[in-house]
Formats: sequence, C-alpha cells, structure tokens
Amino acid sequence: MYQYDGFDQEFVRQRSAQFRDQVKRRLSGALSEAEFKPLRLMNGVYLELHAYLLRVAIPYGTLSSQQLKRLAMIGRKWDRGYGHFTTRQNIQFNWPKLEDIPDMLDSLAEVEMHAIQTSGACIRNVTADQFSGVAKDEIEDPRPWAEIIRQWSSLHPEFTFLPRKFKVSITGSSEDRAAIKVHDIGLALKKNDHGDIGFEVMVGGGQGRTPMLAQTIRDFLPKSEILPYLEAIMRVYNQFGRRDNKYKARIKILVHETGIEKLRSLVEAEYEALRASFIDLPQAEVSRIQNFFTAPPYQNLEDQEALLNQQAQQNTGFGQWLQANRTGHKQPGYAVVTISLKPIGGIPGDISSDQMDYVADLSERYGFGEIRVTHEQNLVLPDIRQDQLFDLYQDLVSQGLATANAGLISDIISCPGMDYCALATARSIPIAQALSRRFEDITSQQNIGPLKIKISGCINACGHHHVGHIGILGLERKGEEHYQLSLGGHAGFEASIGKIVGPSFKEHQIVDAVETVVQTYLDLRTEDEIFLDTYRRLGDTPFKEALYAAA
Amino acid sequence: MAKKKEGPQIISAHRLRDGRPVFLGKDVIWQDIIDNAVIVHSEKDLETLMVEAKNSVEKQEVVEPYALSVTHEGNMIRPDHYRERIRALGPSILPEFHLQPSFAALESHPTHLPE
Amino acid sequence: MQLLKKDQGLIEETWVHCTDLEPLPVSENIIVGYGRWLNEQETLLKRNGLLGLELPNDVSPADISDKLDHLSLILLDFPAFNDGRAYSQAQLLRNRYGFKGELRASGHVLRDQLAFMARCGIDCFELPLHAPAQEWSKAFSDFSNMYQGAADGFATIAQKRHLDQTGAE
Repeated sequence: MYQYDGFDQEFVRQRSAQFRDQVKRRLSGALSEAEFKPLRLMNGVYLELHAYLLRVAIPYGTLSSQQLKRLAMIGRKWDRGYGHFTTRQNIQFNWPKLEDIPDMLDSLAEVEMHAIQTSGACIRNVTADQFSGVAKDEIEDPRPWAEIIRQWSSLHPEFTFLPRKFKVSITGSSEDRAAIKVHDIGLALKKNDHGDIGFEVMVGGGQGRTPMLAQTIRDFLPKSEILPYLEAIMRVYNQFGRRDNKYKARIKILVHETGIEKLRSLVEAEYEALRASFIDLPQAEVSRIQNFFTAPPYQNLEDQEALLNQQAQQNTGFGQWLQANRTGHKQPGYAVVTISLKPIGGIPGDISSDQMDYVADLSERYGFGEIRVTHEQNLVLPDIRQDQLFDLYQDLVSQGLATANAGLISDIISCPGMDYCALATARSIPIAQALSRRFEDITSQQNIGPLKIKISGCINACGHHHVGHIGILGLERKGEEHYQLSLGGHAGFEASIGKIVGPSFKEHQIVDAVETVVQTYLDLRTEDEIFLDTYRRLGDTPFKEALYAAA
Repeated sequence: MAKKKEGPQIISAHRLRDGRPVFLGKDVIWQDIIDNAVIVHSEKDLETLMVEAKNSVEKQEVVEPYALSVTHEGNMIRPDHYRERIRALGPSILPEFHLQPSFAALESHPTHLPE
Repeated sequence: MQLLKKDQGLIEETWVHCTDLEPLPVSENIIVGYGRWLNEQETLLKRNGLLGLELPNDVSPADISDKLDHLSLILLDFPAFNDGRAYSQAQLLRNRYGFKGELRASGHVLRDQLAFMARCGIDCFELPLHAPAQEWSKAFSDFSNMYQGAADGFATIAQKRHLDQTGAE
C-alpha cells in the first residue's frame, strides 16, 4: 500500500499543527464557535448528541496493521475503547475531547493517517472496492488512482468551499462493490474496443432527501486525463451548484436541473479550456504511486478445494463461514476473507480496541499486514492462504469475529442513528440488533441467501437505506419513532433506488414487517432466485398485500 | 412561526472542552445530570436564564445553549422529547455509558423491542 | 476594514469606491460595481485614473475577459465564508485570462482562508478591523508544499518529487 514520503509526512504534520492552533484560538475565545465550526468540520470533528465525534480518514479503505494498532491505541487512550467503521470506509471515535483532538491527530500523523476533509463542503474520502488488487473479476486495480485523486483533492485551494460535500468512489472490476452509482462522481475502470483501459465517468449520484443514480458524463476517459477532467467537473460545480438551499446543493441537483447533456457540454468546454495550463502529474509520479500497489510476494500454491470441503464437513461452523465470508482470490491458493463486524445482536460496524489489535495481528500472521474496510462496515483480510483458512477461522472465533453472515440478512448496514447522532430522527441500532436476533440462525440465513438490509436513522441516508434490498428509514411521527420500509434498492452497476412499500411501522412492528417480507419472498421465489431478483420480477404488490392486507 | 412554549423548561448546551451535554443549574453552574437543572415556567424567566447561558458562551464554557421542555416531579426532571431523553441518559444500546438521571428509573429502557 | 497586501503587510486604501449613482471622480483610481460597469462602460474606459471592478461572484470571468487590459483591480466577493465561487473566479482570471492586476478579496475573509485565497491568485485582502493582521499573515505559510497546481504557480509536490529526473520541470 501507499507509503508517505517526506512531503506527505510534512503535510499531515502541518495540518495537525494548524488545527492545534485553531483549537487553541477557539478555547481562548479568539475564534467564535461560528468561525471555528467550518474549520473543525474540515478536520472531521463534529459535535454530536453526547460528545464530539472524530472521523478519521481511511483512504480507499486500506489500512496497514500498524495503522490499525494505532487506531486501537487511540481508542483506548483518548476514547472509550472502541471505534465505528462507516459507510464511507472511515472510522469514527465517539467520545473524544476537543482539547485532546490535536494530540490524537499528531498520533495519527505518526502512522500516516489524518482526518483531513472527512467532513465539510469539500471533496471527501475517495472510496474504492474493498477487493481491489485481489478480485478475480478485476480489470485494473483502482487504488493507485484513488491515491492520485486523494492527493490532488487534499486542501485543493479552489474547491474547499463547495456548495456541499462531495463524494467520489472508484471501482476497477466488472462488478461494482463500491456503490459508485450513488456517489457525486463515480469512476469505473473499463476496457474500450481497442483493449485500452480508461474511466467511465459518472456524475450526480447520491442518496439523502432526493436519491438519484449517477449518469454517465464521459463514457471513456484515458486514465492520464482523470485529474484535469475532475478539475473541470469541480469547477463547473463550484460555480453553478446551488447555494441558496442546503437541500438542493449537491451536484445531483445540478445534473437534474441542468440536464446531463448541457452539463456535459459545460464540463467538456471547461476541460478543453483548462487542459493546456493544467499541471499534469509527471508519468514518473504515476509510476511511483502504482509501484506501491503491486502484488505482495505470493507463494506458488495450488487451490485447496478438497481440503476445504473436508474441513467444512468436519466443522459445520467453519463450513458456514467459508460459504459466506470467503471470496475467490485471483492468485491460486489464496482467498479473500471478510471479517463480519455484525455479530448477532451486536452494534453494526463497531469494533473494540482489543479486537482491532487482534485483527492487526492476524493480518501479520496470516497475510501481508494489510486490512481493508468495506463500505458495508466490515473488514477484509485480502491475502489469506487457503490452507490456513481453518486456523484463521478458529482464531477469529476466539474473539467473536467469526460471524458467518457476510452478505446475508444479518449483515446489516446501519448508521449510528439517534443513539449518537444529532441529526437523527430515530434510533437505528436497536432495530438492527433486533433484526439480527430475529434472523439469528445461520442455516436459515443461508437459505434466505444474499439480502442486504440497510438502515438510516434520518433522511440523510448515511445508512444507505435507498440502496438496501430492504431499506429502513427511521422517522419521527407524533413524538414517536416510526420506520418506513422500502424494497428493491441495489448499489451495484445495475443500481436501483428502493421503493417505499407503504405506511410506516412503529418500533415494535418493524421486525415483524421485515420477517413478513422475507417470508413472502421465500414463498414466491423460483429456485435459486435471490431476494432482489424476486422483487424485480414481481414488484411490490405481493409484499404490500402481505404487509398491509390483513390490517 | 414558533408557538410560545408553555410548561416547564430547562436550558441545555454542550461543554466546549469535551462536548458533553450539560444542563444549566443554580448559580450558572452547568450540571452533568439533568436532575440538577433549574426549571423555569415563564418566558420571562427563560429569557433571564438564557442571558446567563449566553454569558457562559462568551466565556468559552459552553456552545449553542437552547431551551427544552420537561416534566418534573420531586427531584426528577424528564425531557418531553425522546431525543433529549437519550441525550440526558446516554446511547440507549450502551447501558455501561449511561448517566443516572432519576427519570431513567421510570422507563423500562428506551429500547423496548420484541425479540 | 484593514487592507493586507500579500508580501507587504498592511497598506492604506488608495482606491475610491464609487456607488452606482454618484458622479465619477475626474482622475482618481476608482472601483465601480458591475451594474455601472455594464451601463457606463464607454465612459469608464475613457476616463483618466485606474479602474477597478467589483465582480459579483456569480458572474463568469469570461464575460469580462476581453476588457481585462482596462482593469487594474478586481474586487472578488466572499459573501459568506462558505461561498467559495470567488476561488474559481480568481483561478480563471489569473490562469485562463492572464489578469495581471490586483485581485482583492472582500466580504467574509477569515484567517484560515488566506492561504487558499493566495494560492488562487488573490494578492490583497480586506480584513475585519479587529483582526490581528500580522498574526493572520502567518497563515500564508501554514503549508510548505501543496499537491495541486494553482494560480500561484508554485511547483507541486509531484513536480518536486521528480525534479532530478525531469530537470527543467
């Protein structure tokens, strides 16, 4: 993975020093809260329901074991011994003190981490496919480009006060695991007819109040053109994005109101105009960055299906875990492992400092010291020898990290909701916990098959409920928490926004409602048909009937 | 247009240094536990209290003070809105982090869902 | 209001801000609003004295690009700290249209924006009266090196990384 040089190191240290001075000025009163707020937001510091929140960037979801251990230490020393992974591959600490945050940032800088632009109306963390570099269906590893975009967007002087936050995601496989179609800019590496690899550039995706899928603005862009092209998009957005209404300020609204054709011509004109004076990345720099993402020293191994089958037969738990949490690796003899952070009845995406240390150790013992964070709030160990999967499994079991539910119904994505968040209109975590317990049995989970439940505690949709196969949105109605159910959302290339199925449910009804939906699916599915496909085939009528007819 | 609030209210804010919710008590001391908040019953008294709160803001003690509606009985002060109850108590799913306001004993638990 | 000129410090105001209706001074350096610029352009271009223009932050620099030779100062507007349109205007005026005169930031100018503004080519700043200007000037050097190219023309980190290989860059 990428390693800082002196320039990168100096940059985060100076940023940390700048924030330390800003905190000092705030505490002394030289800065008012109104003046300080945008500054602290640009360093990922929110003020939430119970305390400040610090959101630490995990660029394109890649961590070294050393970094994960440092996050564990920071959680212990300055927080309450745990962290929370988000739907943008970042980590959040929920209890930092403002006066400690400069020390936390200095500590992060020591391991090449920061909280730059994890909040505020600027370009946020660039997220990427969690299986980058190891996926069987990979066209090209997107991470070098994610790193290139990260550097270019870091404290970009022109784009630091955009109309609103700006989220970029990038994928390099034939399947999109990075939800690029619900990002402000989604980038997909692909091959053209000549076999060249370039980017399909999509703009205007997003969730929140007005969910929209991104549209293609440029079908094929040579890779070397990505930065000037992004600069053109950002400049057009900065100038024309709405600033009169916070809820209409994302680029998706600009695309919607201007039309993709007109927007394309604006962007292409700007791109043409800026091209000549744009300071290109030297090819030597592109190569330098790409060299950090070459394959680790794999051994020449054979695939071990026979061994794994045997082990699975002898240990049902292992067999179930293998089925859900193991993904194929492009290198023979290796596997990609998903560590579920959704234990039955647990808080989705939360991890204790002890568990962080443990996973870091596992990555060193079994892998090459690298961990990935998924936007579905799980972790990945990307390079595990197949003949060591069983040993790894047993180690994970010892720490409660072996829940065999990756991609299954209890692998729930949930925002923190009103238990933590000042914006929330309802709690989300208790719903996730109750659903997890209702569908606890792994065998029946596997029978249900791939089914993504995504829960948001408010209309801002940080839990990505719009793209959940089953989406749940928590609202307030007459002083009580109510939950709105939507069906048929999906975040891949064939993305779709979920459709609200009917009137909302009360807290004590929502779990039964989800079970009704699942039962309806089981009754109506054809053989091997996953939930999403059954829904797409039948529409919401049978589900509505099952949910509301009896009432 | 906001309706004039009726009924008992208190003032809350967040402590600047650590972001913790605090409640304005007697002698302009900010309290961690809601039980110790000063209750007012009139707009006029609320305004007086808010002046104290704003002075505190000027002294970099707290940020963004606001009024919230409560019911009270004896020592117990219970916020009317469920968000404020969670705020005064702690994350509903982590009892180990709960403060111990008197109203907590009243609820079975803010989380009450069928298993 | 104080005027901070980058690399110089506090300076006196030498420009006259003209409202839309008052008669134009005979030969002083004046700054006029955009409406006046559009309506009285011929008169403005013919008069003695330097000319400055208040550019609203929703006007494209392309709209004045052919008249830049007549302008010695452009006043850019930051109506709220979070309205960043003038950063793009500044970059375009410098990079695309080659404006060589003074670019001045007015409106909500905070210490922590000065470095960004300077990078975008702004060289003069209207600061609030109470601002400790000398203290604020330090903000220009908060960062030794930056990743992206901007109107200030400084070499990027990527360029500096490869100086040995690329020589002239």
